[in-house]
Order: sequence, then C-alpha cells, then structure tokens
Amino acid sequence: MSSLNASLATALSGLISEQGAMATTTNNVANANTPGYSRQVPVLVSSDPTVVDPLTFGSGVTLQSIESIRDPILESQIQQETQTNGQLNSLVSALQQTQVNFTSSTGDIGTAITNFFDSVNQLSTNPSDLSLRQDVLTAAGNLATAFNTTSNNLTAQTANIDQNVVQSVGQINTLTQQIAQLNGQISNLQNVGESAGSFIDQRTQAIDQLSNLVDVSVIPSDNTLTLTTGNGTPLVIGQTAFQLQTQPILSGLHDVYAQGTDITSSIVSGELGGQLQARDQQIPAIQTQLNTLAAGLANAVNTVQAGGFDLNGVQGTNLFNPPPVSGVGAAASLSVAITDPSLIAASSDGTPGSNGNAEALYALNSGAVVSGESPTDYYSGIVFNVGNATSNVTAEQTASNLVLQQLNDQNSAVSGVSLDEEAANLVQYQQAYSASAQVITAINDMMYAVVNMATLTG
Amino acid sequence: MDFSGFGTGRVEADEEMSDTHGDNGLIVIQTCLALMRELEDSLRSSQTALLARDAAGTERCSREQVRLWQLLKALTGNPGSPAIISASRESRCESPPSAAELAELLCAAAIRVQHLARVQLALLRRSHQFLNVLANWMADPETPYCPPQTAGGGPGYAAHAHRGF
Repeated sequence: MSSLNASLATALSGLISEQGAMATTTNNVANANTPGYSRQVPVLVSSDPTVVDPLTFGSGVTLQSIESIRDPILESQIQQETQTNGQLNSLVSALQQTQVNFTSSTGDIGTAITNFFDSVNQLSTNPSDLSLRQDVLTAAGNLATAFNTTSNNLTAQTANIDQNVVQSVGQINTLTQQIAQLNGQISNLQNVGESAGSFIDQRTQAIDQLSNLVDVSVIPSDNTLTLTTGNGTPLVIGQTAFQLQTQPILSGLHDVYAQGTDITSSIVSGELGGQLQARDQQIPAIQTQLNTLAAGLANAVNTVQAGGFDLNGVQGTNLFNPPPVSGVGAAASLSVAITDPSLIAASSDGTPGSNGNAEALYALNSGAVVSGESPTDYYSGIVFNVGNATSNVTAEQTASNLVLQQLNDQNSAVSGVSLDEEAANLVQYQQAYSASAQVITAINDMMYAVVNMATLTG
Repeated sequence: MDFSGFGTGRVEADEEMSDTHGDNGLIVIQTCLALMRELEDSLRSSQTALLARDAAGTERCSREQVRLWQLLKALTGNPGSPAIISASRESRCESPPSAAELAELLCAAAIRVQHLARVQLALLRRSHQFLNVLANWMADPETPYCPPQTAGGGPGYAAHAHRGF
C-alpha cells in the first residue's frame, strides 16, 4: 500500500502543476492584446505509477511542457499573402503617383496636344497673322513643357522608388539578423527541452515583417529555420544571416546583390518586389511610350514644316529640335527650335496668304503619325494603360487585403487568446489547486492521528 | 428583381407603361442601372462566399451574375425589345431623375461593378491556387494525412484525395 508520504508527494505534484497551469493562463491573459502572441496551453501528464505488488498506485501529475497553439499551414499562407500584399501596396502607391501625371488638367500632355493643333487650325484661317503665329509657338512651347514635366516627374518618381529600394534592403538585413539571433535562442532552449514559445512568436512576427518586404521561403529544420528568397538565395541559415547589398549601376539606380550575385530580377514579391517592378518595368514602359509619342510628333511636325514655306517665302525649318534617333529621352528633351513666329511654314507655295501647309500641319492631329495612330489616340492609349494598370492592381490589392484579413481572423481563432476561455480555465485550475490543498490537509490530519497513536501506544 | 417573366404576358401591360413614358432611352438607362445595382449586390455576395470557401454560394452567385449579364447584353443590344420594356417596369421610379443624372449614376455603378469583378477575379485566382496547394499537400505521401471515415465506417470523400488526387 502507498504510504502517507507518497500520497503527500502526489498531492504536492498536483499543487505544483496547477500552479504552473495558472501561471500559463495568467500569461495568456496578460498577452491577450500582444500582437503575434500565440496562446499557450499547459501539457499535463500523469507521473509514472508506483507498483506495490500486486497494486499500482498513481504518483501524481507532471507539468511536462507549455505549448504554443499555432497552425503552421495557416502561418505559411499568411506569410505568402503578406508577400503579395506588400508587392501590391508598393505597386498601387507607385501607379497612383504615376497616374497623377495623366489626369486631365491644363498642364497635361493631352490638353497641350489639343491646344497645339487648335492653334495651328486658327493659324490656317489667317496664315499671315503674326499673333496667331505667336500662339502656335506658345502652344508648341507648352506642349514641349508638358512632355518635359511629365517625363521629369516620372524620372523623379523612379529616383524616389530607388531610395525606397535601398531602405527596404536595409530593413531586410535588420530583420534577417534578428531572425538569426532568435533561431539561436530557440535552438538553445529546445535543445535542453525547454519551451521557446515566446521566441517562436517573435520569430514568426519577424518573418511576417520580412514577408511584407521580400519573397521568402521558409524551410524548417532541426529546432531552427532556413529562410531563402523565392529563387533560393539564402537569407538566414540557422544562426547566420546573409546580408543583401545594394550597388549603383550605370543608370544611377541600385541593384540588389547577394554574395556578389545580382538578384534584382529574381525578387518578385514583397514591397521590394513591387518597388522593383514599378521602377524597372512599369515606369520605364510609360517613359518609352512617352518618348515614342514625343519623337513621332516632333518628327512629323518637322517633316511637314520642311515641306512648306515661312512668311518670308523660305523653306520651313524644324519647329521642334530633332529628338534623339533612338527616341530615348525624347520626351524629356523636347524643345521648340525657333523663336521667330514668321518662321512657321504655313504656306505651301511660298506666298504669305497660303495656308496649305498649316492645314497639312493640322491634319497631323488625325493622321497615323505615332506607331500607326494619331497623337491624341496614342496619348489616350497611354492614359488608358496607366489607368487600367492602376485599376487592376487596386482590385488585386483589395482582394489581397480581404484574404489577409480572413487568414488573420482564422489565425486569431486558432492562436489568439480568448479571455472567456482563460477565465474558465482559471476557475478550473483554482479548484484543482484547492482540492490538492484539501488533500494535503487531510493527509496532515491523518499523520497527526498516526503520531498521536504512536504517543498513546508508546 | 425577377425577370423570369421575360417575353410573357407581362409585356402587354408594360408596353402601356412605355407609351406613358414615351422616352425609351430613359427607360433603358433606368433598367441598366437597376441591373447594375443587382449585379453589384451579387458580386459582393460572391465575394463573401469565395472568402468563406462556400462553393455552393459561389456557384449560385455566378449563375445569377451570368443571368444579369445576359440581361444587360440584351438591353444594350436591343433596347426596344419587349423583354427590356418588361424589365424596365421593375426599375420605374416615382419621380424619375433626368437622363444626365441617370447616366452619371450608371457610369458610377459600372465603375463599381468593374472593380468588384476584378476583385472577384483575383479572389477566384487565389481560391484556385489554394486548391492546388491543398491538393498537392494532401497527395504528398510524406504527409501524415488520414482520410476521415464516413458515418458508415467506409472511406469518405477524402479517400479521393489520396495520392493521385
């Protein structure tokens, strides 16, 4: 038969375990509003029984461990969606800034093109009128300025995004360093059988933050994690963080390097992926279209100018300075070549009253002069592309926000702290603790009885 | 709104209404607007269904959207058809706003519908990706996955999800 001392030890194990369970509940309640905290549960196991032949007596309870409740698949989904969300946030922000340049205003390219051709149309009604000629020059200047401003705005936006790229890489390096340290702390605790729940929570949160910045693959290994970018470039292996670097390239922009290898083109997700996509794809594509429009329009106008005669009966010269042959930089460098309004070649036969060439100039407005389209149609195409891209990315962002919200809600249901549940647990542990205390009191009474019995018999 | 009576006896009564208004263009815009609003509601419902992975709800909303889309197509293709006149009865307002106001409302509704349709497309793409991931995960022989048993003890639906799903 089990001794009173053994029963006392059993009751004591109950007291200690329930005390541990209450401490876990207290910690859960304290962290109910801590971001990234996963609720913990005490894992109570029955202690090894004592065999007193032929009977087997239980020897109490042991608080084996304190486990954090988490769903790794859900966490992985959150990390993946966070990457997409980060990318979309960067893209939406960039495209909305870009779109401002193409919204209808007095200074936009579309209005400037319309004003330019309107002034040419006016000139054709009275080709020898110097004030109307001056209007054409002014409108041409405004058109060039509109191209310059839009192109320069896009260049400035590219430079700003490039600065963000450098900052994002810095943030990535800070986080990978932090995750490597946490890997070490988690590994040390788990190697000695201790619970590393709060460190794992911190690491999960750091990985979520990293996912928001760059595409990350998480590979779990013994008590630690390996993190790589989407194309397998290591970011963290165990307790070692691999720093990313940024280096300026010929264009003045920065590329991202990992151990000497340029990985810029392989980063597709996260804020960094979105920044790179906006900087290297979206904005350059718009710049190219602007250059095509500026070069096409300038060349077409210059060609018509050369086919006519100015107010002095001399063959027309360029109205716009010829754009670069490659077209690169045409929008940023577009400028008016003449300052004398009489040099506008409105006449088709050399007489001051002829308006043949002015009409030919005006006809460019509806002619297929830029990649088979009229200047207005081509510009409308650019505006449509920018607007469509912005709308698409905004819709994707809305969907991503909805999905992320849904996943976070699901995760909260699994890992979040329910104060009602914790209150119930607290009562349960408190009652168990009181019961164990009662048992100890009872054993104490029994021992007292035994001692008194010994005194009486002695 | 229920347009199930298209091309039925309701037409006669509605032709009367059309004569009363005398402005078929206005009626068409009003009907379009009503259909757009209904489409908007349906897209919001399917968004909720998609997020909740409610396949039946998604299917129901998709059918509804196809029906509304066909009505809109019919409306814009043949605004004078009896079906349209019938449909317009549902969207008649007590004090009809001007055509310009209606057109503005229609334009705004179209933009909202376009955005919602894009969001739905993005959500459908994500659902598709999720199902692919789930299928691969379940098919992985290394995964400690145990197909649930049906009430009768036989293999449940998840048996199909075993390798080769």
